[in-house]
Amino acid sequence: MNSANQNPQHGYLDRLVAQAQRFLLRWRLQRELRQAATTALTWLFVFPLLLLLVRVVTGASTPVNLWMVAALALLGPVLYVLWRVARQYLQYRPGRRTGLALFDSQLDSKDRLVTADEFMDEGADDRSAGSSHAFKQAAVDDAGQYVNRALQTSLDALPMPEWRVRPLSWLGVPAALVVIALLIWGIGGSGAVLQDTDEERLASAVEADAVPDTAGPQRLAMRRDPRRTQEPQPDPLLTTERPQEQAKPSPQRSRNEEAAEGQSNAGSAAMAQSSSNSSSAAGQPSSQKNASKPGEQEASPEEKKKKDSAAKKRAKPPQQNAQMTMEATTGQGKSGGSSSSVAEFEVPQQPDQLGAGLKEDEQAEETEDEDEEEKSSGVTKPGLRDRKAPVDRNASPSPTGKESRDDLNGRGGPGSRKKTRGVPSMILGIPIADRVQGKPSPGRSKVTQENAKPTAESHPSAAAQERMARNEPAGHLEQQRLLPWMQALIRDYFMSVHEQAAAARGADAGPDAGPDEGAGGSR
Amino acid sequence: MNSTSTASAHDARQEAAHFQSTYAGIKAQIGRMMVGQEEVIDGVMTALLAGGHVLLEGVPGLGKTMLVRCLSQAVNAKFSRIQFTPDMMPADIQGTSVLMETDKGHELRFQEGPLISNLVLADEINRATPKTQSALLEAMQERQVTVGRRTIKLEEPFCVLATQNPVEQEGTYPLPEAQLDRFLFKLVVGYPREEDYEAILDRTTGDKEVQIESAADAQEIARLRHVVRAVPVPSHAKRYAIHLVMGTQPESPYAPQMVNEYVALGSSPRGAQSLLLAAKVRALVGGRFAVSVADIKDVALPVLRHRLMVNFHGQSDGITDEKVVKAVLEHVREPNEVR
Repeated sequence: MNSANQNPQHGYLDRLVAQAQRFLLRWRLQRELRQAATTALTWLFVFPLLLLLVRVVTGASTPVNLWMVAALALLGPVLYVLWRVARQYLQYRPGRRTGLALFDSQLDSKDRLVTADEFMDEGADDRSAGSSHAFKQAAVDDAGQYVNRALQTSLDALPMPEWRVRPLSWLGVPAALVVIALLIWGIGGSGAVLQDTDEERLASAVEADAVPDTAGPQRLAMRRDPRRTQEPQPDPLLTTERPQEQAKPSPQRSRNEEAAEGQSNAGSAAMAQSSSNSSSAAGQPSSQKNASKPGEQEASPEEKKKKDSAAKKRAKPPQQNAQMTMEATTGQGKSGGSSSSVAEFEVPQQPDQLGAGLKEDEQAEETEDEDEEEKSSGVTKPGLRDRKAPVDRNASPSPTGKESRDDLNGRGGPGSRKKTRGVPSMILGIPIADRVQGKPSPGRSKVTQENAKPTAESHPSAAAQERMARNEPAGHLEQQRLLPWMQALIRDYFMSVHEQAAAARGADAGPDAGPDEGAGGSR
Repeated sequence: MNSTSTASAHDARQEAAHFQSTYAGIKAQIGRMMVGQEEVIDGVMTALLAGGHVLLEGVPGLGKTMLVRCLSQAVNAKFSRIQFTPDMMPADIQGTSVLMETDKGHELRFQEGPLISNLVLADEINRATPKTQSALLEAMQERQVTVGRRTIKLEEPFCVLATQNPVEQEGTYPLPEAQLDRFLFKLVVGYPREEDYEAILDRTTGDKEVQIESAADAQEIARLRHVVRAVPVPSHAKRYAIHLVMGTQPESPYAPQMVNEYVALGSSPRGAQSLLLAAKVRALVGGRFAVSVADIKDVALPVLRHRLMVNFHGQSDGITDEKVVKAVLEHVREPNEVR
């Protein structure tokens, strides 16, 4: 320890530092608590969600206690706030100078305490600095009275953020409620339901396929009826035709269902394919892979279009289609589970969407017919169905002029063949040759358009210092031009004056100058 | 604390007290003639005692020239005034060799120009050509004048107090950056307050002549400048000054968005030197023995405002040097700030 540290002020400063550090840590923890509270509600749903996931994965079927779930939901925010505060407690260490600066700012002592602390730490090693050292000593002495004042002062409270919750954090509440609801009435308590619904869904799907008009309401009724959920009534069709291994609860069910969800979206084309080749498709579920083989992907769009239209023309009416799907399903053997899912997802589409699909098919056929007619005749018919891309009205042609732009189809927009005469040349934004009479084309005039809205700008009164200098000369005064008679008059006047003066000089020179004098006098 | 350090601290206190009294005396003498303009008077005196030069900017009739004249009378130093004009040559201010007739015959003698003085009032400095303006560079920075093979050391204190009129820009030559950087302060002289007008009219239109007595002399000023240099700067204040200067430089880590967008050229390290020197004077005037962050903040605007160059976008958007400096002051955090 150097001599400076023996200064009693050093001990006082240590006390102040300890006091300020305690104060700052307390303030920081309180602030952290309030800041954490702003986002803590977001964590309400986290633990219930975890519980839900655990129950889904493990397939637990025990009922869930509501109060336990509520406590679990509250655990998230509490743990989050505790974690933030603990982290702050472990990480935040207010520095020595920061603590003294707190007293400096409160006492308005202009950094005297911080400066004195620094100069005391420098100690006696700095004495070679001469008069600067003397000033440092003076600074330390000067800080003494402020140290005494600081020791008697308690620190004022620092600004603290208000207790509030961010608007987005409130989303945690409905999210938690949803998760809790799922836990209590939904997936969490439905271990038995999961096992039962496999067969039930299959049965409802088959019924729906068989009678499309009533399938939807029936399925809904089946699902809503708790008795049916608890006491499944096997379909006679299934009990007779399906193999026995389907009856036992299958762990593969979820995987099959997922596969079916991925594959069943192959659409009606896949379904049509399987129905048209009923003998071969019977053992294979409808799959998207069939519709999108690599070889087919490489086919040109026109060929694809033709194939699609041909397939659509061969497509059967919906009821017949559904019947064939059912037949194929019943003869599938082990892949029956996936086929049942297919049927379940396809059935609701039958009445409406297939009809809409037919309309679209008809439109596509008409469009193709028109295209073929246009190609054969070589004439573009305007006013037909507008199915082309909107016209690009960009006025700038391609930089090289060689590239052809497909979007510039000549309907109002300028292309590379744009005219530079006539009405189009008068429209702004179309570059035209700037020809000046007598000069061989000095160049092109380029018109640049900007999409800018005029905005009103305030015009404050100019301050004296912003006044501009005079930027024009004051001007010069022209001499007045005299008329000839005025010039003659002035000339005569000065001539007479001159002659009069000459005569006077002559009279003074000798007595013989009498007539001159007389003449001068007469004038 | 031993007796040596106590004695030295006592000396420092005495020197600081003497500084304060001298400062107050000079200011009081100037105040006998000048009414209001407290900030400008403080700025001029701070620059004089910090060993810097001042650029005064304001419209005509605000008392810029009178302020400098009063200061020269109050400090009783050699004073010369140069009215800059476009046809002025460097030799007109530095001096030149003149052929003189002596008893021994004809002899070339060096005739000193008005620049060789203690206080130089460069009135309307922006009316001189860059060639003549450049003649001031060596004198302002090196404190010497070189004419031909002759180099003349200028006496301490040497202080250039230049004035310029911001409104009449026709026929003027804006000061180059190198010249502007050599001024410690750029002080903007504004219009007086309403309550000051009456006193101004009484003092300038009455029959009573105001006499200004000298409160110090050139040697005294030179000695006070040494006292200023002895004032220590704690590390946190030094760091703050550095951050402020770096904050004016585009793309520096301390630069606010406004600097990155609108400033073409920031302050040089000379700006940081000027900040500390001026802050030392403020600390002594405030009765303290070391520089504080508040002192640096006080002098930041007059020190930094003329060391920035606002780019074209900034000018078109109405961004001024003052706005930039204020943005830097708001953006740069004070050291030891509780957060």
